[in-house]
Amino acid sequence: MQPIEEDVLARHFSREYEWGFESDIEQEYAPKGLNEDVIEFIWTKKKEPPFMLDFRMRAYRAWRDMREPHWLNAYYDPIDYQEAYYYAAPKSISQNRPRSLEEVDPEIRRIFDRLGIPLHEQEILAGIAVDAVLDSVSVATTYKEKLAKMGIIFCPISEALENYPDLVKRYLGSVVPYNDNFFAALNSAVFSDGSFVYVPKGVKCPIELSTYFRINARNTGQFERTLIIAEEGSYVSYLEGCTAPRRSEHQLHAAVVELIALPNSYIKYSTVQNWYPGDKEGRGGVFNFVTKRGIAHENAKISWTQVETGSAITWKYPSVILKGDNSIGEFYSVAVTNNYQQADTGTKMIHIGRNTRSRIVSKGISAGKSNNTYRGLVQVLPSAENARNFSQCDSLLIGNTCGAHTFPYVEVKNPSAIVEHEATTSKIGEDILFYCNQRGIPTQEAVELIINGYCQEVLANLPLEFAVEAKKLLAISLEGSVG
Amino acid sequence: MEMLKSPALTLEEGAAHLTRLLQEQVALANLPPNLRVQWDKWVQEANLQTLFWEQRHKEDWKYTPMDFLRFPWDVGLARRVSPPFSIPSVLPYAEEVDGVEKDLPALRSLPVPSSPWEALLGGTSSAHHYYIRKEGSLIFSVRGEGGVVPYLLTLSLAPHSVGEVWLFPSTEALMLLRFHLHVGQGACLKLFFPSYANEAQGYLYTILSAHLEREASLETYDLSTSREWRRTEVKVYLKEAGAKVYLHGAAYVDSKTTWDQAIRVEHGAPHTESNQLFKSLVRAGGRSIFQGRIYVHRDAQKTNAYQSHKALLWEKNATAYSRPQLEIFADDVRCTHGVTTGFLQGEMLTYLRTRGIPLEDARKILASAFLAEVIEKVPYEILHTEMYKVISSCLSSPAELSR
Amino acid sequence: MLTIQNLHVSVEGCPILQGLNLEVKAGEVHALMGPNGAGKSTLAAVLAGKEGYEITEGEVLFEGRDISELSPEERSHAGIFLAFQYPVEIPGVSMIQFLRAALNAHRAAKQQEPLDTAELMALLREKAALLKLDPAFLSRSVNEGFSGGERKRAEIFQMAVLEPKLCILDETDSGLDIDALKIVSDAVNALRSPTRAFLLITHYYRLLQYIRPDVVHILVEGRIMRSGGPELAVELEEKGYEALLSTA
Repeated sequence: MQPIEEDVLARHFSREYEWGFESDIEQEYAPKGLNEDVIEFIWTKKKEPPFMLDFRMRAYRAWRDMREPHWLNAYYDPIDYQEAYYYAAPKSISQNRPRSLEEVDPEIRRIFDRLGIPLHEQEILAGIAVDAVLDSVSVATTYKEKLAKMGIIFCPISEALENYPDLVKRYLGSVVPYNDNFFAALNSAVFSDGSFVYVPKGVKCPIELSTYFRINARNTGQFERTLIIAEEGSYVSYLEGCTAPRRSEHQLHAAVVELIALPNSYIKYSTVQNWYPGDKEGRGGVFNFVTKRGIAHENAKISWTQVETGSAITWKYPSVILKGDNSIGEFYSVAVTNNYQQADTGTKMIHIGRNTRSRIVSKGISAGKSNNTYRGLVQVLPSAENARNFSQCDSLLIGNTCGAHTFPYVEVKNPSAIVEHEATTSKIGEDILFYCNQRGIPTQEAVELIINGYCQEVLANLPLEFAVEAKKLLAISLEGSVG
Repeated sequence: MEMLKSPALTLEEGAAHLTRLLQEQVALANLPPNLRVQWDKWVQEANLQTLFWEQRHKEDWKYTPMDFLRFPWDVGLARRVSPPFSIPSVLPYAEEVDGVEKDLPALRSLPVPSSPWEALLGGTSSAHHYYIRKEGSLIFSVRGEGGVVPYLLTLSLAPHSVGEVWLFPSTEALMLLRFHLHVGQGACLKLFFPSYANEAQGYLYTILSAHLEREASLETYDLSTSREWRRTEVKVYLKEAGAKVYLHGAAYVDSKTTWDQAIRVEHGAPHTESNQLFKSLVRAGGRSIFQGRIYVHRDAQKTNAYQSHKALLWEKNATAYSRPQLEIFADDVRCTHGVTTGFLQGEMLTYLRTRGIPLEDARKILASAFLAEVIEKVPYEILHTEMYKVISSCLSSPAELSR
Repeated sequence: MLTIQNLHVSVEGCPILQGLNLEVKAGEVHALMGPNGAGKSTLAAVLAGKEGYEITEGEVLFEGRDISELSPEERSHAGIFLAFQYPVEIPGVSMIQFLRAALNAHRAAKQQEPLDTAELMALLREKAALLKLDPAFLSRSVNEGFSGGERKRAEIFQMAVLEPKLCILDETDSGLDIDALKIVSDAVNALRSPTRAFLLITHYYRLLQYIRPDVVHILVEGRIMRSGGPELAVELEEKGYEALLSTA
């Protein structure tokens, strides 16, 4: 048999990015670059309430005085922030927001059809409501009326600013402050759309809410903003998926997601991230620099699940502030890197309340010439009596031109806390491959089986349709790297 | 000491002051001429202020209080003192050699400095070089007094030799110990670094590096109940196939004490093995820091590397920081690490109490049992008994009064 | 069914099998016995196509066809099954997923449609009953957290599911208590058929009390030193290898 790296694994990883098509839609842009005028332009364009101009300006000024951080375990050429457009919107939408799906520009509908995300409700997978975001603007939200009957608000954040300004004002920036970090500040200054979810007290949202993000325009950053509020005793499961055209230049994606889980509520947030990863020589691809954070009040639970297969660089740490007593935070992650991709991802669990619990399961898979880093913080503050954390961070290396890095930070200031971290590094062993072969399973299929098994604990946390999609993505992104 | 009571400088000022002070020490360094030139350059370029703005240094010192930089240090005196107990070793003394004359393996493998500390200490004036041809032991029992005492030690082990090192540095001021080991092919070295509660309450900063050739082995035992601020950096380079390193540490971290271990084990060749086993018991106000890194190079296939740190927080206001890190670039390796922090679990205590053991005794028994996993691995019994004695007597007093 | 002629096999340049001859016909049960290091497990690995085993001389014919160039999965599809001495764990992959992949690969090789879930589950439940396995084990990861005995039973269970022509059992009896040994033997006996052959590799006579072989071979230093009927195993049990071979 040939060495693993050269044959099947090599074939396994060589498939092209399937979502890289480019669409021609008439776009409306803000002037190039970033300054106070551009901020005001965005604010005016979006007809936002006055408090938003203040929010954006404060964020912009904070950002202007910050330096771009460079501590991640990855390298990229400096970004020229004045060379990008901070607002791009399909003209047909930015000038006149469609009131129903029928009004959506057919060209835009075709984009989402090609991505397999139909915007017609009758075609939609049963039980999933979709908000489709193209470049920076929400295109269509489905199932809105059905949800409204239960008091659930699911709409573009721009629409929420129009219809529920008080709700947005109260929570926007409450978990990720406008000056939290360089990219969060940039987002706060220029974000143009994203999803807004509000689940009233005691309501269990019966369907999965889902947002599909798509970067289409050239030289634009995508800065979407998601805000989810779960009132006392409510439940919501939210999914996001992402793709971008294949382009030789890098695209910046700096999103902010804020989750507010009020007492006894449960927010489940799942991501399948498949931004364009760049080509085999590492040209192009999305910089996925995202700030995601949730706050859990008494007895509330926040669960992050992510499958990260795309992006040239992924740099993000979906976190939970366990503020309330008995609150629970979970983080389940699969990160796959191939070719020249770099991922530096993980989570932060900040234990503040008593009897708080957190669980971290991270599975990294590195192939090609990629580098995959788990970085995670578990912090137990003096107030967090009986806090518990368990972390499991495994790495799988395919070939020896890639790297796997594990950087956990454990900080414990309460003597009744128990924190455990375990990590292992392994490869797809020849003995397991032989065992599968002996049972008649060809190597390629065996590799998929083994990788799915390795990620099982994470995939099991995804809603069913997403799990199927995630498995396919894993197979595709690793195609050609094992043999 | 008067000086310790009156910190006068900001951290940045102190860093600049200490940089200058150490740079002035360089002139007499006991190094061969070619190395002297190189080190003089590194020393002159070194700047401790980079600790505050260079990301890499900031990470390395993330959890470590650097108050010692705030004193306007002067140069201190090093005094040889007798070891705290009689050394049970039977090996003859290692031979001290002139670093300028001899072509010593340890001077050849002395790593390029990766921090300003290493640069400043690598060229320091108080340098001593030792050589073990067949078998030998090196006992370093020095007390630093009156100010900064920098020290450079190197030890070279000839192929297939056997050696032991006993380190007993202590200080009431600031001692900076730079120790480099070169373990030749098939040679075997054990290093003991016991530090028992003593009245010296200064700052002890040790940088220990080791370079291991084919099939060489190194074992270290760091046992601490010290009341000093104690930072130990260990950098082991497994240069050639079959090299093995086992690092052990057990610490009783008293109140107002910092126990800080920064470990880096680098696997540079196939079939190398490393194991890090560290445990710390932390009292109120004490701070336990463990930063361990395993780095596996691309061609270091069939490597086995393990790392474990467990911290036991004894009471409120005790703090433990753990940063176990893996950096793996080879696919056919077995690397695992684990860290836990926790406390004495109720059921264990209850079990002992049902056997008639009073609560406080039960806690002490379990505390000793916690550290025993490491202590019992030390090959000399005298080190066990000394350590248990200190733990037992220290735990009898409440944290606030224990110093 | 299986014809081995003058087989020489080396591992990392070190000769292990040195001129082995063996003929196994459909419907027969052969026992291959021998001391440690005789090359028993090497033979099993060579038949299954494990890499790192170099055939330096001789040939292996399965149903008249030279299999030395076939990949392990092609041999599996052809009907060769190896019950491993040390079955590996496959974390996160359930027995159902695993056997679905295996069965459907076999079916694809025969140009058959894949089984649907209902058919698959019915088949797996039926075969699990044969091995007296709790159906819950089907949902557990392959061999993960299994006891030694459970692993061996799981191997025979997989054999029952895949219905091979030639079953090679590599030290399947080791690590089994009496009850488990009986369950495994009963299952093997139930699978005996005129179209299927068995090669039992074992150290001990114990297994052969439950599965009666047609032919017993004694393998020493890479060669079959003696062959005979079941009585040979009894004789071996009484005298031991050395005595038996010195009288040979």
